[in-house]
Amino acid sequence: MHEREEAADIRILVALEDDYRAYRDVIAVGIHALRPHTEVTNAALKKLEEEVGRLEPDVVISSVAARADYGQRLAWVELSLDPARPSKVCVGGRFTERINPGLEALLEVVDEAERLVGSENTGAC
Amino acid sequence: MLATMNSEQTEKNVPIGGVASRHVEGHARTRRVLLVDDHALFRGVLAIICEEQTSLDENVQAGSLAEARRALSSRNSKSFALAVVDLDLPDEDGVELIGELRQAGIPVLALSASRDHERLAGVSGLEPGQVLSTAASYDEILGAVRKLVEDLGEESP
Repeated sequence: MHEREEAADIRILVALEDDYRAYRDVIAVGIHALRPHTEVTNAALKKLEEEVGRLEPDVVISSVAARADYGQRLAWVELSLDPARPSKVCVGGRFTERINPGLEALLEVVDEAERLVGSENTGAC
Repeated sequence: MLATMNSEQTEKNVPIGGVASRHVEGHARTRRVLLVDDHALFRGVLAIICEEQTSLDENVQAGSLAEARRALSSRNSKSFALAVVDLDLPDEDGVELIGELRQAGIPVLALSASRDHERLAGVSGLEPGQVLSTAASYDEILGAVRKLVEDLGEESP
C-alpha cells in the first residue's frame, strides 16, 4: 500500500504533442491511478508554458527540456518518444538519463519529488 | 478514472514476455492480452488500464516483434484473448504480426503514429475501428479495447 505519513499532495503536469495524445492521456491516467493523492493534469505541448505558469507543477513530464523561464520545479522528465533515445530525468537538481524508462521508473521520480516537497536546500530543475 | 492500485500491484506488470495476472470472478477462463509496443512506459500503463478497466485479467508484454513472436510461440495462441499492437516496431513492421495474429484468430487493436487509418486498416486487414493513431484519446483507446472484449463473448478465452 501507499503508506505515507502526512502525505503532501503534489501537482504533476504531463505535456506531450497532440500526435502522441494517447501517450499523454494514458500516462496521466496511470500516474493518478497509482498515486491517487497527486493532482495530475495533461496538456498539449503547445500549452506547456501557459500550464506551467498556471499550475505551478512540482513535476513536469514533457517531451521538451526544462527552461529557465519555466521556473524551478522539483522534477522534470524530458520523456523521449523514441524508445531508443534517452529520456532525461532531473529530480531535486540531480540529472540522470534513462533509456526507455518504464512505469516504475516514472513513479520513482514522482515519489522522490514528493519526499522533497517542503525540504530545504533542495535543488531545482 | 481507474480504481486505486498499490505499488505491489504495479510490480505485477510485467517483465517482457512474463505474465501479470489478476484473476477476475465471473468468467471461468483467463482472458490474456498481448501488448506489443516498444515504448515501455506507455505499454506498462496500458497493461494496467486493460486489466483494471476491462475484464481482461492477464497481460503479456513485448517490446518488439521478435519478443511478441516468442510470447506467441511459448504459449498456445488460443491463450490470448486479444492483442494491442504498435505498428511502428523497431525490428519489423507490426503489420506482419497483425497478419499472424489474425490467422491465429486473435482480435487486434493496432496503434500507429500515422493518421492514415484507412490505409493502415487496408494493409493490415483490420476494420477502421481497430486501428487508432497515437493521437487518439484515452477514451478512444479504452473504448476500442472494451469493444473487442465485448465481442469476445462470455465463453471465449
